[in-house]
Amino acid sequence: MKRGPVSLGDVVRVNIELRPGDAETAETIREMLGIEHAPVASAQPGVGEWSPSLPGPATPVRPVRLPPKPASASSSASGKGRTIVKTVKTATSSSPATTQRPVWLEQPGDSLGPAGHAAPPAPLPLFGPPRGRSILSAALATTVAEGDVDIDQVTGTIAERRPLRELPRHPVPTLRRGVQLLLDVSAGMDPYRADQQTLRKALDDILSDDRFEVVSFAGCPSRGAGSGAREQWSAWEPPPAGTPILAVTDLGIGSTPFDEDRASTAEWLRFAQRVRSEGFVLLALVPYEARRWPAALARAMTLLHWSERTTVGEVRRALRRTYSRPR
Amino acid sequence: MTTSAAEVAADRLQWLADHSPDAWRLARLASPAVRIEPHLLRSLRVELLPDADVGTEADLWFSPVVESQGVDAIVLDAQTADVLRRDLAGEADLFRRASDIIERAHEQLPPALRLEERINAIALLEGEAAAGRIDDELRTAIRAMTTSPERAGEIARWVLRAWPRLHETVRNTPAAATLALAASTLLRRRMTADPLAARARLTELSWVLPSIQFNLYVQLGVELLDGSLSFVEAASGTGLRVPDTKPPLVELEWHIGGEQQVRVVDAVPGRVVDLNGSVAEVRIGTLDGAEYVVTREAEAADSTSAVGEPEWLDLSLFDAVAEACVRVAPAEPTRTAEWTTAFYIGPYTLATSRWPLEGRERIRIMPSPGDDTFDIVNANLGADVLVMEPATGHAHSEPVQMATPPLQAAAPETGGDLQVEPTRVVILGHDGETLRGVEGLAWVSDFEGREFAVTLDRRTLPAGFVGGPVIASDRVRGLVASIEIRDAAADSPGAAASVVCHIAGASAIFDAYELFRKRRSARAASASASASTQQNAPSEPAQQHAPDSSSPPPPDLAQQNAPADLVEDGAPEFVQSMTSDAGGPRFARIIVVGDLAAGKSELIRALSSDASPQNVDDRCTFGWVERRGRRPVSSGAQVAGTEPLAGGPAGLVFYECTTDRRWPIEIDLEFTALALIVASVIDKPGQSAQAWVRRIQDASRDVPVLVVGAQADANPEIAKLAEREINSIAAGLEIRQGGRSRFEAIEPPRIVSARTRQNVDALRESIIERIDWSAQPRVEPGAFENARASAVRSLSARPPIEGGTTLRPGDPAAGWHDRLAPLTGERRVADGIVVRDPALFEALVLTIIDVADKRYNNVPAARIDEIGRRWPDLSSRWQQLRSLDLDPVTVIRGVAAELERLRLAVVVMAGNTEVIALPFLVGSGFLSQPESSAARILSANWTGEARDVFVALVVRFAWEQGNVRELTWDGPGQRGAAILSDPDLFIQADESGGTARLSVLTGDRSLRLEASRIAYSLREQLESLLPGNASLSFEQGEGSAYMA
Repeated sequence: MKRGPVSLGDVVRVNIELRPGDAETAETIREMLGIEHAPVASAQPGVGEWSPSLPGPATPVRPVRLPPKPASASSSASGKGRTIVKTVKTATSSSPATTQRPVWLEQPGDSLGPAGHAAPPAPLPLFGPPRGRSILSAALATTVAEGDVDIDQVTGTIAERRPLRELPRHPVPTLRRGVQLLLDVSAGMDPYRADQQTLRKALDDILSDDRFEVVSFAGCPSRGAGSGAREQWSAWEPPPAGTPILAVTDLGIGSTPFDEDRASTAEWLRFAQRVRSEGFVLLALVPYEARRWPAALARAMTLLHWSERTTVGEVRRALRRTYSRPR
Repeated sequence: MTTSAAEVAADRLQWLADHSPDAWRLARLASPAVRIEPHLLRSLRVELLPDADVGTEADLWFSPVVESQGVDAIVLDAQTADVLRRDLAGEADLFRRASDIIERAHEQLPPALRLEERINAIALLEGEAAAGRIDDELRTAIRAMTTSPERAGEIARWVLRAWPRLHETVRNTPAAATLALAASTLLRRRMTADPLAARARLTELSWVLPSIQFNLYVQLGVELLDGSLSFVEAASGTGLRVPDTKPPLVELEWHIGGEQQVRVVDAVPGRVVDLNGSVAEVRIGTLDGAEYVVTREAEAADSTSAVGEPEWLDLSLFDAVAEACVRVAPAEPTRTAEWTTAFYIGPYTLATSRWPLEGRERIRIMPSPGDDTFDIVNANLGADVLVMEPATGHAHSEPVQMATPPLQAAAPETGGDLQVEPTRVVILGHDGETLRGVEGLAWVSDFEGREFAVTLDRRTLPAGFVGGPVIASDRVRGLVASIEIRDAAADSPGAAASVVCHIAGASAIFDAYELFRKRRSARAASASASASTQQNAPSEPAQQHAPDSSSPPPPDLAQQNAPADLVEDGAPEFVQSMTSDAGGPRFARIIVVGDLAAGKSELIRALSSDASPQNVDDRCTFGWVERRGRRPVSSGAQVAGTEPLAGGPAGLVFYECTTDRRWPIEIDLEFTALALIVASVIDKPGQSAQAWVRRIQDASRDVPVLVVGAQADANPEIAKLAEREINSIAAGLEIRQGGRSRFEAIEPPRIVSARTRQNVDALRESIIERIDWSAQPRVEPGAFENARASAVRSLSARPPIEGGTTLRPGDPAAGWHDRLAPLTGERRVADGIVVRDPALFEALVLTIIDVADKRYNNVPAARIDEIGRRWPDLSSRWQQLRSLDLDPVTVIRGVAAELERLRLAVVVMAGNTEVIALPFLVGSGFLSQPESSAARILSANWTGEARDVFVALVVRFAWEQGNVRELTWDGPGQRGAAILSDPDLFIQADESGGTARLSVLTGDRSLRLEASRIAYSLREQLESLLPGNASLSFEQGEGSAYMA
């Protein structure tokens, strides 16, 4: 096949112009244009992938030496008081500078490594060592009369000549009732998402599996809760009787005012009242200091400051206040 | 009023400092970090702010200084972070400690980001003195770029993103300049050349460019003026030949007073470089090593250039292209068809031809085993192009791009025989419009463009040959080819001509298209001038043909039919042929989002060529987004404009969608071809665009997104700032969308103005370019034209909200509905929010009523912010109202304002809370008459209606005084209204014959002083409520003390 510089477009244009009525005419036109209608076998083989050219082309491109005529826009750009002069290309380098790699690049040196896929580290724990475990144990412990025999009571009963129908024992705290952990997954808790998982793991370590239930909610559990995808949540179900309920939430303090998940104090109050009416203890870990807690909520439920500065003593005092309230 | 980015940053920081000083301190400590994760915040707080509460972390997280929030990290607003970083650097020790913590916390981050944090910290602490050290650090990135193309792309993208965040000391290092040049070239993104001006010599940088760069050139004219040098558009074949980097860079060297001056500048037409004095000669160096000297005319007399000296150009590339053209042998004669089209053939191949020379021949190709969708193609032999069609029975909407190379020889029994594996084919014969109907069938992956030229004797050219049609469709995404005679001035038979063939990727399409348009315009102008000259100066016709390189077109172009015209002439038939059997044109749904008043509607109108009133229905512009059906989606209940393309084979339908940015939104991007994010350049464009990018990406990451700053005409200076922000966001977005793959060579406009039409056409082309037309639905013939009407109908037919037609039958307020309904045809309920649906407005009012109770001084009222919160509690009505995906507070505030305007409610402040008081709901226990012993303390008469004034008056009064027990109007048998309050005050109003009368009485004389004070207040309010032309008079009653 002979391929002239006329190329395809010229054939197209000429045929548009002339509109040959038959193949013979079209062939004639092609011949006139220097393009033969080659037989099949004469077709050129493909030339393979089109890869970028080498820095120095096989046939070196010799830069154009332009005739010394005025620059293109010279006639239109003559400003006042300015002299427009000719543009002349007088010299060029013989080859592009693409091969002039700097010396330092050829020498050994560090190279920026590729991105890895390591997981981000966990934040410093809010209830971390050494007292984190104690705090959780203190917060979630319920009491059972399984301690040492209450000698005083036994003695008193006997001294009063009353029958000892059961052996009185001192109450001892226990975690055997486990906990229902309510994790707030609303946007307001985004900064503490990893902390929630750390807490969950910590609780998993100290509680037996069958007594540890994790339920997610957004804003307030009364809107719905569940352990799976949000679409599958349903109404919140209380845990077995006696099980403490621990909510990890911002109580609507954080986030933005227009966060759809943000719960109101009233909602939490209603939920707290319901929980109390059903005989449960509702605790909440709140990542905001006490002065920012809604006062009504602080009265309706046991709020614990979720902070690395929280002490076991503070937790116990809070719980004492809770258990001293009339139910 | 507009504010600068710095002012905005300062405001945000001030807000944070006022509301949470600890959060401000934490932000300051975290500011050297590129991204801020919870674990970093925790470490910084615990180690450096031990007194700060854990809540400080959330305070910062949700603060306005944060540009973007993710589940796992936040990013500070760039301007704010810069301010904080510099402030922190003032405490070097603290800065170092914070940097150490950041470095530890970011060990898992990509090394490039850690490098960025490290060198910025060095620069902030040590300044220019550390430039060498920073340069060494950056060289590690350069080394990485040279290891592999993947790493080069990775680093380049980082450089583009990080560049605005880098400290100026970093940006001024040679290594940074090298990286910037490499990144901009690799990704074909325009970057500022300013950093290069300070440090770099081009010869030190050029090595970093890929060799392909030296096959792409632009021609530039240059003028040496008195004291400055300016770049101008070059005539064909003249001027500097500069490698087409983005932007093209040149190095200027000149002498003033014997001192050498060197500067690297971006050489774009219009750029003027101040030379600081008059110079006789300027040396211009380009990246490919070429040097030019610009001298004064007198000094250029010794030029060695010769007129007509042939150019020596690379023929090998031309040969390669020529060989790549596909030839297909005929297998069997077929019917004659008067059309061909453009199709994808291989990864670097697109075959197009608009015109047949002979009948199509069927051949068989085997795209992939088992896939027979496109195994039958039609080959146009005469035009030397391959044309493919889906086999019979396959819908045209099936994209030919599914055919994967290599093409294989066909089986004999099915027809043709493909002799050449078409790895590439020259495109000829189309302009943009012609291909618009078929671009869905054409697809070309990224194509490295190039330009080459041959020298030939004009005698080898056919008579009248003026070059090939330049334009291929910009929508074909990838390839443009043309043949252009650059040196056409010499028309003697023996003269040589420089014939340049352009084959370029999509990046060159706009340039080529521009060239085409300029030529066409020039031709038209020339023709017009010719006609004018012949008419006015017939004696000087020769001037029309005098060679003049500065006023295109060349004579032969002016005299001949330009190729593109020929193509255009055939366009209608082609379009018709393409659409006649395809079931109708395709149309693409474009969803336009952005903040309120960002200029979306205006832009859509500008983009719509048929934006005449009958085509763009104002009624369809709603300010909220609906959710339809069970799925909460926002389909944007508005068709803002339509745009038929190329006479009908395709069209755009613009949907507009907005909401207050603070309010969540779900955008339905199903069947959406492209999302256009519009941010006003004068209203925090970066923040706005970023917010909408997040929203769009939350909805779908598959839909192409364009981001533009609108209203650029409002403030050009701010627009420039905005352009940077938008560009940064858009670049990041494109990277997140999987790199630039199909679009990477296209650089859409970032700033537009609908009013001045600045970049509107370019935006329109970019939209068209980005749409995957093969995925867009076809509509029946005529349906496209009806799409607009259909959308309008669907909006009009929206079912009324249940309960909206009656309001509590028997309720005293029921009559209100009847009065209200005719008034609520169209309401502007807030800035930028227009309610045009009476039923919806009514539903909003019903919501307010639902929430309202009598807690507020016995006047039914509701706190505006509470209404929004209680929407979800409104059971069935909530189901109806959930379609309003809009900030409830904004809506309710607007509705309240409207009710107040209608004198049906009063908005009052209860402490810091806005409350809507609804007096018309009070109706029980009306005390028809005051006690006989009551004393009148005030009487007022005025012209006009009593009722409206009374309602406003007494409700305001009731609110101020509190403890209003009863209030009514139009009670049974009443002609007026009355309010009974505590202290015992009876206020009554009635009207008769256009005169209204108000009486204030009290039954408790012991409270006369108190009552008098109240009466005085009432008088003040009355005066403020009445229109200025109302006649108001007061009468002193026997109990009146205030008058004294």
